[in-house]
Amino acid sequence: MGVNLNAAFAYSRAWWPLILLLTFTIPALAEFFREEWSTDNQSHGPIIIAVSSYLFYFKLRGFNVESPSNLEIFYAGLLTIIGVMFLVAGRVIDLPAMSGVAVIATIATGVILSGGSAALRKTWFPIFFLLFMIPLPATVVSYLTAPLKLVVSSGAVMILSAIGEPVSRQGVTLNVGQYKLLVADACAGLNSIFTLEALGLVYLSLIESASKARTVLLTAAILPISISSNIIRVVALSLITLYLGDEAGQGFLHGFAGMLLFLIGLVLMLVVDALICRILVLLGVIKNA
Amino acid sequence: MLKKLAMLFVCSMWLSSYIGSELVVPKTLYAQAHPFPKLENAVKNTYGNWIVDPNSRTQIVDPRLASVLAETYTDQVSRTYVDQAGRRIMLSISYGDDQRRSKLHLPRGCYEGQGYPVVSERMRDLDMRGRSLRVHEMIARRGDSEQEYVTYWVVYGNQLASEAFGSRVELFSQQFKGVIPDGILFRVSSIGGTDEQFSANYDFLRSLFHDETSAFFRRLIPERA
Repeated sequence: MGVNLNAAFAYSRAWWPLILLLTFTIPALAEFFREEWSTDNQSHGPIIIAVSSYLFYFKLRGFNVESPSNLEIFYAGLLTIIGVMFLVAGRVIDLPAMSGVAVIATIATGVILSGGSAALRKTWFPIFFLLFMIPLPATVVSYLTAPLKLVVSSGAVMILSAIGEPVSRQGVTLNVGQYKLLVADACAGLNSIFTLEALGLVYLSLIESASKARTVLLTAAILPISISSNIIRVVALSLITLYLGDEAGQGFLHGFAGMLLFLIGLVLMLVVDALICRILVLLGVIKNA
Repeated sequence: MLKKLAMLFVCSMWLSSYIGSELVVPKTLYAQAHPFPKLENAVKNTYGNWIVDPNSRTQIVDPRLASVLAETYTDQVSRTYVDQAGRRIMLSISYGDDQRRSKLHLPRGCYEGQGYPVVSERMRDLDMRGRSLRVHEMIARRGDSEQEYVTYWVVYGNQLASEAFGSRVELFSQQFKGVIPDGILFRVSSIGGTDEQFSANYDFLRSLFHDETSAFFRRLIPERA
C-alpha cells in the first residue's frame, strides 16, 4: 500500500473547502491551547483532536467525494451564520465553550462544502467526538470534579484503613500520619476520564469488528476504571508520603505515579474488554472473541 | 461556481467575526470607574453591641488554600464578632475586581470540599433599611449536632445577583454592554442547632448596615435596577 502522490493530490483538491476552513479554526484552537488545555483539569483537548483526526481519516478511506448540491451549500451557509454568532458571543462573555461549538460548526461546514451531506454522514462520529475537546466553563468543571474528588478521597481512605495505615479525611484533605494531602482537581481525574474514553475508542476502531454492544459496554466501563486508577494513585502517593516523606510524595514520584495510573487504566481497559467479549460470546450476542 | 461563492461568504464571515469580536470584547473594568473601598478599613471593629472577638484574630490558613484565595480575590476580610449575649457571627467579604479573569467561588463548593456537607439551601427576601435584599440561606453540617447557618449574597458591578442562573445572565449582560464587572461575595454565618440561628445573622446585619447613606452600604446592597 504505497502512497500514490497523484491520488493524494486529487484528494486534497476535492477537500480544499475543509482544509481552508480548518485554517480559520487555528486562532480559536490556539487560545484553547494557551488557556484551558494547559490546566490539569482539561489537558485532554489535544488528545481528543488527535483521535478525532485519526477517526476522520479512517472513515474517509476510499470515500468518493461528490460535490455538494445547491441546497447543501445553502445549509452550509446557515451553519456558518450560527457558528459566527457563537464565536462572537463566546468571546464577549468569555465562554470558550461557545467558541468550541463554533469551531465544530466550521469543520462541519467544511465537510459539507467538500463532499455534501454524504460526507457529513460518513464523518458524523469524529465530528460529534470533537464535542469532548470543548473547554468547559470553570463552574461546570467544578460541578463535575467535586463529586469525583470526594469519591476518590473516600475510596483511598477506605483502602488505606483496610491495610492498617493511620488515615482520616476532612472533605478532600487526607490526614496521612502527620502529613496533610489535598486531593486536587487533577487527582479527580476528569481529564483522564476523557483521555481514556478517547483511547478506548481508538482501540475499538482498530479492531474494526467491534459490535455495538461491546462499544457501549466498554465506554461505560471506562468511567469506573478511570476512577479506580485515580484511587490507586492517591493510595500510592499517600503510602509514598507516609514512608518516604513529603518531598518524595510531591517530587518526581508524583509525576511517575501519574504515568503509572494511566498505564493501570489502559491495562484495566484491555482486561475489561476481554471480559466483556467473553460475556457477550457466552450470551450469544457475538459470534467470536 | 456556487461552491466558490459559498466559500467566499464563509471565509469572510469568519474573518469578520474574529475582527468584530476583538472590537466588541469588553475592556473597561467597572472597578476602575467605581473603586471599591479597602475592606480592612471599611469594616469596623464595633457595630452597636457587636465587637470583634479578640481571641479569633489570627487564622491559620493552609498555604495552598491561601494562594488559591489570593488568585481569586483582590481584597478580602474575615472577622468574628461577639455581642453581649455571647452570640458569635463570622463575617467574610470577598472581592474580585475582574470577574472575567477570575470568578468568585460560591460557598457550597468551598464548604463541601472542606468536609462540611451542605444540608439545605434556599432563597430569602429581606428588607435592609429600605432596600430589598435577596439572600441565600445555606445550612452546612459542622459536627454531630452543630450546623453552620450561612447567609450570603453576590453583587456583580452594581447589580445584586444572588440566583445561581440569574447571576450568570447578569455577568453576561454586563459584558455585552462592554463592561467587565467586579464581584462581591458577602457572607455571614453562625453556628447553631435550629433555623432560629438565622435571626442572629440578621441582627448582626442590621447593626453592620446601620448607615444607609454610607458608600459601604450602597456598594454592598445596591439598588434594584
